[in-house]
Amino acid sequence: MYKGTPSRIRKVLYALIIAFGLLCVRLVFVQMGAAKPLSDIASSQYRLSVSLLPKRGVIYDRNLKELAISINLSSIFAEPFKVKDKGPASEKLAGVLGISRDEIYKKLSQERGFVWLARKVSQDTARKVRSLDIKGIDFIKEPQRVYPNGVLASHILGFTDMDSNGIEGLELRFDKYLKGVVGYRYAIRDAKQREVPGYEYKEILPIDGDSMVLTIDSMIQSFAENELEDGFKKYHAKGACIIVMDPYTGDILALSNRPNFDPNNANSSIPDFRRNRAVCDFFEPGSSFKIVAASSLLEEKAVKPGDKFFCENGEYKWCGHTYHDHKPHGWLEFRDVIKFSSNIGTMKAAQRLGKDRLYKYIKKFGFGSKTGIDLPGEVNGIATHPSTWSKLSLCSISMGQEVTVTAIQLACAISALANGGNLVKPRIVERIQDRTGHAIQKFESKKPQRVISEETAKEMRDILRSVVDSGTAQLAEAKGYFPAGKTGTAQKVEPNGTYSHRKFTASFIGFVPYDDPKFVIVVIMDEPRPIYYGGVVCAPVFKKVATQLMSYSKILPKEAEKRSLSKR
Amino acid sequence: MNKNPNNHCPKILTAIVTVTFVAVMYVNQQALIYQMGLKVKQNNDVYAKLVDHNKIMVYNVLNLRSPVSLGRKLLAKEVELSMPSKWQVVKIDHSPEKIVLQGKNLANIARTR
Repeated sequence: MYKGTPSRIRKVLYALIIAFGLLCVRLVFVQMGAAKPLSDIASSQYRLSVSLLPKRGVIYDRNLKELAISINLSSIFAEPFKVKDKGPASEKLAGVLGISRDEIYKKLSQERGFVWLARKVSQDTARKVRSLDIKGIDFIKEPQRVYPNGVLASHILGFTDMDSNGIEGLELRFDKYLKGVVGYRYAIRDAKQREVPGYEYKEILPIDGDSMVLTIDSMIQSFAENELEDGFKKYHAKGACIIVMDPYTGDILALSNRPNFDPNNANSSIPDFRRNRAVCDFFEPGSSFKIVAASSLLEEKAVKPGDKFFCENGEYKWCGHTYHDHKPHGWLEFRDVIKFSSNIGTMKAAQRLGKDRLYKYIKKFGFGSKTGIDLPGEVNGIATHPSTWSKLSLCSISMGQEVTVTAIQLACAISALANGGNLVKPRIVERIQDRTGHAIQKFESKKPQRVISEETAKEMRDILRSVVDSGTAQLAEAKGYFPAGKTGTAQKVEPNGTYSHRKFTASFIGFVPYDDPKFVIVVIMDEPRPIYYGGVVCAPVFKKVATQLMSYSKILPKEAEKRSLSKR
Repeated sequence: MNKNPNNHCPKILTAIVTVTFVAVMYVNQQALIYQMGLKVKQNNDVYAKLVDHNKIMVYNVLNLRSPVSLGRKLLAKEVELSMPSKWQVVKIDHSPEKIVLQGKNLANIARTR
């Protein structure tokens, strides 16, 4: 067939065969050696992966009122290479976004494919920017955490960052439950980098975050916050906190601190204002701590309520140190020692108990160790072992010095007296539930530990009632509701280690009604001025909150009075 | 056997027409998929927009009825609320027959009138 073919044609044919052979070799080389990277380059040019953000779980109060929800807001970005007239565009955007023209121009002049102009702007701002119709300016929807009640319960809830990660409070502690799992959609994009609809080749749906139901009651929280705010401002305190607790279950019904912050705008707040003082700050409790010494003395039968102690007319020298009472007293029965908060009477009584037994009850009441509340940053407080105590320590500790506590520990301790002698674990999260409302984790109240007997608890309740009725806390008397409690006024320690005569921590810990306690309330004020007595500064806050709580619980003053009288 | 090459024409034509038809149908199908995808995307965008709008309105309602917001408004209007006195409280029992005001049965009072 090729015999008659001219040699030139044959040469061309051979050349073509060689060229074809080389192409085949190249093809084999590409397929065998460089297929993967080339395939990846091709894929990246036409494939697109879109993140599908999950919805962050809602945080509810105990009545399923929303305390924290998420909404989608528009974030504005630019593709600088697409923006043609950068000067006029910057001018227009500056007017709408409230950012300086130079700043926007600088962003638009960057040699990058993507740059944020403003994140999570309001609907109104987004609409205005959209109406400018600038090429190269686009929008992305991003979830924004919002708190409809503003400052209410801000220290409990905490807040999230720009990318919806928990930063403080329960948002941080339960972030893994709340945030959910990001999903992805793999699609194809066209030459203009737009997603081609209908060509998704894989979709992994996001898993929305779980919701949380708290033990907080937003109405009670509101009562507590309003009254604390009034007291905080009236006495120019450096800080303050309040806890309202169910003494039987340990459920925290309200917890608030001052100063506070708005979690909707947390970044503009001072970090110190965001500290949850109720669990993160420890302080010397002063006379509030006498409940521990008194309970242990009665429980160990070291004293009887009617035993008399000579209170040295307000001044007593012991081991080279002079102790004082707020007011001078002569002979007082033990119940009156607590009623009038006599330091001298308490320290004399504590001598009958001894170091080891006092320490045993300090630990039994939960001091010196975390309560285990589900809030981040809880501290232990300090309750040192008797082996490290000085000669003065027994006296000092019995009256609330040389020991430090947190507000939540005090709430638990006073709850033990209110509920008949059992130490409860505080609970702030009731359950975690999925989107359908099905509980996936329940935080049951733990079995309380008995600290003192029911009889001792009742004796203590009677004594603490007398503190309010005719003792140091008469300003806590919520008429018709018969509250009980104990005041505390502690000198703060100066940096040089001496007790200050200008800085005090005032406290009132109590419950209402005294014979059938429904609520435990703890009020702490840090450095109140000019008055610093717990009975003057904190007791009125307790009274106002207690009155509102009882009304909110539909318990009328008269009913409480009737019940109280009938039980007597 | 007819060896005239012209006799192959109908077969080739049929094949060409078939292939062309299948190709056109395929392109049409792809175009329809694209159109439907576009429509679904548009509907999804509208739905997402409405859901977002709804959520923002829900947030506004929650914000308006929050105790903090209500308290602030009452304070601004200088409206002071106080707890009712004992004589101002009417307790209504579960049964409509028993309406008690400070220990007196209102139903009895109504009957005597």
